[in-house]
Amino acid sequence: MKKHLLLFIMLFGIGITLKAQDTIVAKGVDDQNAEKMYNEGITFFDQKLYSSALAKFDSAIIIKPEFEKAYYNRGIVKYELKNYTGAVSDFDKSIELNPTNDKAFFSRGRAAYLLGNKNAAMEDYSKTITLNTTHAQAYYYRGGINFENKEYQKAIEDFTQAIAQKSDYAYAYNDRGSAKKMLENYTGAKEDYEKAVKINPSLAFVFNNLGSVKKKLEDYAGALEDYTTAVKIDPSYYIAFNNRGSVKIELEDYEGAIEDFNKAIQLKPDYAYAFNNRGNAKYKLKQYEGALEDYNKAISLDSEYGFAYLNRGIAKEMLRNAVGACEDWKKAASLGISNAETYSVNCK
Amino acid sequence: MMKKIDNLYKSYKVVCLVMILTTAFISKVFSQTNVEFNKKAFPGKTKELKEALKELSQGNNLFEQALMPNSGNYSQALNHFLKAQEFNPDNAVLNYKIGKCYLNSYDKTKAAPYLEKSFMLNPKVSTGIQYLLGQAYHINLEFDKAITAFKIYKESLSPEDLTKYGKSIEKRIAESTYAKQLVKNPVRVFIDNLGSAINTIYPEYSAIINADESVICITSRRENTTGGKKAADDMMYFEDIYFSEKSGDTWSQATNPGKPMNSDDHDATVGLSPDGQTLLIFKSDRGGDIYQCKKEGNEWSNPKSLSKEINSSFHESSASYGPDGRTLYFVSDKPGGYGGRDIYMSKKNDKEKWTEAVNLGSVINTEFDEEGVFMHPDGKTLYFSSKGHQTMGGYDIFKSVYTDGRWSVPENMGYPINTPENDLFFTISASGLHGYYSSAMAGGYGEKDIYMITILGPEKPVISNNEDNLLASIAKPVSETVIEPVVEIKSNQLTLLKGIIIDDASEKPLSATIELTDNVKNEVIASFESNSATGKYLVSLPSGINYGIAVKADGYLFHSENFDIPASTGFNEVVKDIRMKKIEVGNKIVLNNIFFDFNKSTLRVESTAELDRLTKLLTDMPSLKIEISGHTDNIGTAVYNKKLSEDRAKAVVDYLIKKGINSNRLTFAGYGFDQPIATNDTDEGRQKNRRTEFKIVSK
Repeated sequence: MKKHLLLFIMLFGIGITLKAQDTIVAKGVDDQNAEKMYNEGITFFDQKLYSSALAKFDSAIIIKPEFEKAYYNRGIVKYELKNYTGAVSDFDKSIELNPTNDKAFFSRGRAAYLLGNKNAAMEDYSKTITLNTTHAQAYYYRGGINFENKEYQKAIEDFTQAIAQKSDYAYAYNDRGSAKKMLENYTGAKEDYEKAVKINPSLAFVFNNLGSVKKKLEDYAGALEDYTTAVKIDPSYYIAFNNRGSVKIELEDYEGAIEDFNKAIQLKPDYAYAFNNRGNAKYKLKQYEGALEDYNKAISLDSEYGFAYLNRGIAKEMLRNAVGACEDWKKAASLGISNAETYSVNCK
Repeated sequence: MMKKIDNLYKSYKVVCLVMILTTAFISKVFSQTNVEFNKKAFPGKTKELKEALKELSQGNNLFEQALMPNSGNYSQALNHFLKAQEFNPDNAVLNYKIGKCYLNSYDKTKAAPYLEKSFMLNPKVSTGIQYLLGQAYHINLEFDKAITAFKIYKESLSPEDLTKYGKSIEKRIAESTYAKQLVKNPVRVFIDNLGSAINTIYPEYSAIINADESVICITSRRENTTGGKKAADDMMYFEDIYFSEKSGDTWSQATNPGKPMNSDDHDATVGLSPDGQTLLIFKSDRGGDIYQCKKEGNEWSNPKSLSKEINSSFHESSASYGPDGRTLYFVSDKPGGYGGRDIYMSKKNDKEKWTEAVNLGSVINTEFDEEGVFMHPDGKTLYFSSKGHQTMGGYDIFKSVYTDGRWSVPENMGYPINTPENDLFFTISASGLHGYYSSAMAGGYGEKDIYMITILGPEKPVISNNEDNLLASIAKPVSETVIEPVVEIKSNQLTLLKGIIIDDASEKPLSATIELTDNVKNEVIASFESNSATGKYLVSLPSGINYGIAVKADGYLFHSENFDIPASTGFNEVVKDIRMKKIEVGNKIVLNNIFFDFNKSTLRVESTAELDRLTKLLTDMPSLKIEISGHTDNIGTAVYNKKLSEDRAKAVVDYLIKKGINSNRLTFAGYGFDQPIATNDTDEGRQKNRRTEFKIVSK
């Protein structure tokens, strides 16, 4: 997943880079010098020499303090250097000098989001869209914030707009699918995930999402296939191994499930979920001692893991440790697991 | 030409010889031919043959004298037959008899191979062979084979026999058919042998457990039976009753209380009250009657026959008390029922006499025998065995719940609680978690043993956790919300209240009366006694009643408790030790069954029973002078609480005066929150503080 994010940021970065044709013809000596610095800054930026680029844009602004595009570019460099506060400040200035630059609003929105300021980001994306109704990414990122705010219908509308502006927007299809999934429209979600992978068949996480929504639709065989594709694309995708293991439990292939959980644990040795789930597969095989060990491990990794306590109680009951089972169920109940509350009814 | 024919003939002879020899060889190895016990079949083994014939003859004697199924004769005959079998394993009739003996012993699962062999040796060995095979397969859980055998047997019957036996064979087939279903969907249980403190090489059965599983009483037929004799009909020791107590997880060595509970004849357990202080036993008098023994301190009283309303001249075999001790469910085969043994119910009237018994009706009783009745301490769940309804063989154990004036359709308890054999005398703890029964399954100490069944209920689903990268723009995965599958855990609806009653000053155990009242109806439900030696008491409180509990003992102030239990409250066990205070100046008790309207001093009608108790105390002791005091929690002002508590105390005094108590014996006071008996920081504590008390001012 991190790989994809990086890729996207790079694409984004490149997309934002101003091309030479955006430069203004210099007027006067000062202007000429400022332009010279500006252009050199762009050259450094293209070579990813961000500090040098920064210095050039600084110089350009010193010479010409109302140099809107220099502020904008410098903001972009600071963004790349993860100085989001600085970036926002430069975008502020750029916008002050030219309130019609949709790109400035959009970039400021991105920086604000990464500072944790979702509301400001949302506003900036909306402003971007007002200035430029074809800005696919603005819709996309605003959709993301709506999703995070659990406004799934609004998110769907935004993703739809993003797709309308950019018909091969695989990520927008994926994210819209996830928003539909949150609204329990599993068929709709499935369709969107399928569209996403059709556009870009190398997205392992989308295949994983497709698998998970098929699991919701109880198409376990289909889910299995998709998880398999996901790990084929990305053999280190432990999330998909864990998910595939769970589907194998549904298909009663407990041995196969254990293999998948083993793999997930191998890739991520502190994956509490995988230990819990592997315990479940062993439980189904009546290997109660083995199950107990796995639940113990899950709990040692996360001492507030309610479901692991629930499951461990169930294993203890089968091992004739009624007192231990009760202790675990009481703990699980205190962590909000409702079935554990039911099971503790007969406990002292 | 002749030479050619000659050679041909020679070859023909050789071929014939080879064929004959081969056939003879094959016959010897593969065909099963019946081999008789005679000299011809065993040349040169005269001595061994004589021995075998002797065993055969002894076996046959016992075999023919067996008067009833499962008679000890069959097991004894078997010993001889098996010796004869060693000498000659290929006799059809002997194999048949061995099979039949096994079917009538405690090793029924061994019958099938012998019966199969006898059939192979001689398909006509007996007209009943298919029927016995059916039984043997049924016992071994080979239901398809059993059904086939029974069908063949049915086909073989003459029209006359078909009319006589057709129905019972149909029943056998139905049982095997139903058995397939039950075995396919077993109930989840653990089955544990109670161990050598209780079980022996002799038969143990009819285990009765008290409500909190601290006492078990069983019937056993062992060497140290009172009188030391064996029953003539089956040559096994007479039944006696044995007791064991549990401390922690261990049962004590089972003890025989001797006479008068046990006699030289058969004495069997029948039922135990929830507190374990009243025992119902079976004695063979008058065709079979039920007697009652009460525990007084550490000794059991003489058995007393239950009244004529219960014991008829017919056979009464099993009984169980309802939790109030005033209802009795029992089994009788007296005429007027639905056929065979039926379950009846009788209640005690105000004069403590059992009233006319009522048949439980056709939902419970069938044309077949019902037996082994047990009423759960919740007062509404009935367990019993029946050969009717749908069973998987013999008696099966069923459960029915009484709601809204009707018994529910009896539910078969399922496999492995029920088996192809007779499953009888199942009792279950108040918690509903543990059942007790007897079984002759392999792996025990010998004959029937007592087992405990832990009832696990429906499978508890283990729950997995997963996550996904739902959004492309966010690296952190989102966990899948888990919707927990709904699992129903049935809990019995009653509260067990138990503890020890002691003298507050000396701390010695007391024998006291525990009286249960329904505060809403203002009716006494039941009355129990604590044990005089241990002070122990145990009462079962079915949910749905506001209980007033008054513990009374001569010379002591009555102790008051309140348990207001809403209707669907599940199982709960409460331990409450009670300290009884003597009627001495200065001693005071909390009147827990006095209720007021919220923020008012109006007495609620549910207080009537307690107020009447108080009235009675004052009437019985005319010189007693008391103070009624009101107390509150610390919510609200001191002034407000003082006034409220005083008004409330006055309300009680006014009631007593109205009932004829002289006003100069009564004083009242309101102490507000000045005298808390618990912390005011919790709901529970505050509720305790809101109370009415009375104190002895002078005697």
